[in-house]
Amino acid sequence: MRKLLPVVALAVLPACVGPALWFDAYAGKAGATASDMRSTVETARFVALVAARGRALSPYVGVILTDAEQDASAIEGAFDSIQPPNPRADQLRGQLDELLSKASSTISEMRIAARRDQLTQLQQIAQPLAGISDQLETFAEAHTP
Amino acid sequence: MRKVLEVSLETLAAIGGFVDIGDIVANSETGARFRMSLAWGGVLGVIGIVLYAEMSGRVATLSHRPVFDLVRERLGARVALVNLVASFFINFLTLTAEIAGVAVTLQLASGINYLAWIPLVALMVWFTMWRVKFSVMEKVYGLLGLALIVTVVAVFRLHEFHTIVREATNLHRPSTEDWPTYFYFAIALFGAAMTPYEVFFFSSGAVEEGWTRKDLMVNRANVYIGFPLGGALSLAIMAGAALLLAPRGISVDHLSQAAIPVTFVLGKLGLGILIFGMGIAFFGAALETGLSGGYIVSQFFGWQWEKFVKPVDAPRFHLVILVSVILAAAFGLTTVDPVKVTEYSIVLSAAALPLTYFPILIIANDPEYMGDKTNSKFSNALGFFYLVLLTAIAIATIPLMIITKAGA
Amino acid sequence: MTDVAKRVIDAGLNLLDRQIIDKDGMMSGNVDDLELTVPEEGGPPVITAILAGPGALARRLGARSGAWLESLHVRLHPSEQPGPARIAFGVVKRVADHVEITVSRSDLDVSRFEKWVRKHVIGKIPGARA
Repeated sequence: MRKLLPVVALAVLPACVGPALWFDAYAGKAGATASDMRSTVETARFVALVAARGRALSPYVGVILTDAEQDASAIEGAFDSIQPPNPRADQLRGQLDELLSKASSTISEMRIAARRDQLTQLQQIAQPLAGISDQLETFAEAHTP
Repeated sequence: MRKVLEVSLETLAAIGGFVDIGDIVANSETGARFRMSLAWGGVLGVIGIVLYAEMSGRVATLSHRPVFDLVRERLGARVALVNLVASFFINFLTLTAEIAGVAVTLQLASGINYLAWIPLVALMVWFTMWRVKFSVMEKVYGLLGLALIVTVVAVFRLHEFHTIVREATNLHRPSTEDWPTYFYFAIALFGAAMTPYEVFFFSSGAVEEGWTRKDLMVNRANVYIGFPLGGALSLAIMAGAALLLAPRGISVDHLSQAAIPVTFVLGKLGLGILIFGMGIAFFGAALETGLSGGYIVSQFFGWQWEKFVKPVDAPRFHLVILVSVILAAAFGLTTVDPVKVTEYSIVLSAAALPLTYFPILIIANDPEYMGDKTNSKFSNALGFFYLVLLTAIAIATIPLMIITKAGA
Repeated sequence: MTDVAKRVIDAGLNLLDRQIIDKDGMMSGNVDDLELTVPEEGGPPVITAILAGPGALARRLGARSGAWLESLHVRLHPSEQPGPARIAFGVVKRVADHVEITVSRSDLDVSRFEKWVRKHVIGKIPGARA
C-alpha cells in the first residue's frame, strides 16, 4: 500500500495544481490570439484608410484584404481548436470568440467590397473595426503573462 | 571620364541590387515588432558583407579562382562536399523564396493569385540566365532596382528622423519580446544582409570577367559605397515599419503588409514604384541565386561554368541551373508560404556562413595566392572578429530557432 | 615528363583538388586523385596519372558518400569494371594555380557525363549553340 502512495500522489497532484496552471496557459494563448487578430484588424483598418484617400491601387487592396481574411479565419480556427481546460476558461473563450468572429466577418465584407472595386465604401464597412481593435488590445494586455 | 561614369554606374547597380526578399521580409518584420532597436543587426550584417565581398573579390582577382574552387582546395574534398551540400540547399531555399517573391509582386500588381505566376516567373528567370550576358544582367537589374529608393523617400516624408536615430542607438528591447526572440531576429537581419550567394556570384564574376589589379579599385568602390547604401535602403524599410506598423501592433506576415508604409505616405505612385522595385530586386536576386547554385556545384567538381561560353560548352553547369529552377518552382507551387521560406533561408544562411568565410579569410592572408595584397592588420582584426561572430551565430541559430519557434 | 612528375611530387598536395584546363582553355574537371607508381629502378613514387571524376572522387570521400558515388559511377559507366577516369601524366604541360594539359577535354574519359548531358539535355534546348 505504501508503495502505491507516491504513484497515487503523482496521479492526484495534477488535479490539484492543474487547473490553475492550465488556465494560465490557456489565457496566455488567448492573449496571443487577440494580439494576432489585432494585427490583422489594424491592417484592414489601415487599408480602408488609404483606400478612402484614393491612395491605393485596387488590385493591391484586393490582395491585402484577401490575405487579411485568410489570416483572420486561420487565427479563429486555431484558437477554436484549443480545448478549454475548465468552465472558467469557457467564459474567456466566449468573450474572445465574439471579438474574433466580428472581426472576421467585417474583414470578409471588406474583401467582397474591394473585389467589386467599391473602394470608397471600405471606410464605412470598416467602422466597427476601431472598437474591436481596442477591445482586442485590452484583452491581449490583460491576458499576456 | 568614361571610367568614372562606368564606376558610378556599377556602384549604383550594386545599391539597387543589394536588396532581396530576405531584406524586405527581415527589415519590415523586425521594424514592426522591435521598432529600430535591432538596427545594429542590419548594420553588422552590412559591414560583414562589405568585408567578405572585398576579400573574395580580391582573392578572386589575384588567384583567378572563385570561392568554391578555393574552398575545396583549402578544406579538402570531403569537408568541401559537406559545405557544398549545405550551401546548395540554403541557396535553393533562397531561390524558391525569390521566385515566389516575384510572383507575389505580380499578384500585388494584378490581383491574380501568385501561384499562377510562379511557372511564368521561373521560365523568365531561367531564360534570362540562359541567354542574357552577365554584365548586362547585373547592370540592368541593379539600376532598375534603384526604384526601391521610394522607401527612403517615404521615411523622409514622415519627418521623424530624430525618433528613428534615437531608437536605433538605444538598443532597448521592447517589453513585449523576450531575449531569445530579440537575438533570433538579429540573426535574421544579419543573414539577410550577409548573404553567401552574393559572394559566390561576385567572386565568380570577378574570375569570369578576368579582373586585374586595376579592377580592384573599382571592386572596392562598388563594395564600400554600393553595399552600405543598399543597406540604407533596408534600414529605410525597417524605419517605415517602425513608424507606421509598430504603433498599430501590425506584424508583417505578408509582403502586402510590408508595402503599407510607402502606400500610406506616397499613395498610388509610391506603391506602384515599390511593387516594381520589389519585383525587379527579387528577380535579380533569383538570377544571382540560380547562377550561384550552378557555380558552386561546377566549381566543386571542376566542370565548365563560365557564362561567357555557349551553353553547349558548359552543359552540366546549365543542367544544374535548369534543375534548380524547376525544383524551386515546384517547391513554390506546393503553396509553401513565401515569407516563411524566406525566414528560414536567411537564418540558415547566417548559420552556414563560417563554412565559406573561413577558407577565404585564410587564403586572403596567404601570399602564395595574394602576392603583396594580403590582408592588412586592420582587415585581419576585423576579419577575425567576424569569424568569431559567425561561429557564435552558427552555434546559436538552431537552438534559438527551436526556442522561439522560428520567431513566432 | 618524369622530371615534371618528380618536381611536382615535392609540391605534393599542391596538385590535388586543382582545376584541370585543356589545350583550348576549357575546364576539364578537378584533380580528384593521383595515381602513384613506384618506379622499377627504385626511388620515390612517381605520379603516373591524374584521376578525375566520380570514380576517383568516391575514393577520397570515403565512408558512405564515397560508396554511394562509386556505385553510381559503376552503374552509369558503359564498361564492366570501370576504374576512375585516368589522365596519363604525360599530357600535363604545366602546373600553376591550375593544371594545364596538352589534349582536348573531349578526348578524355572524364567527359563522359558531360557529353551525355550535352547530347541529351542541353543540346536540345533552343539557343544552346548561340
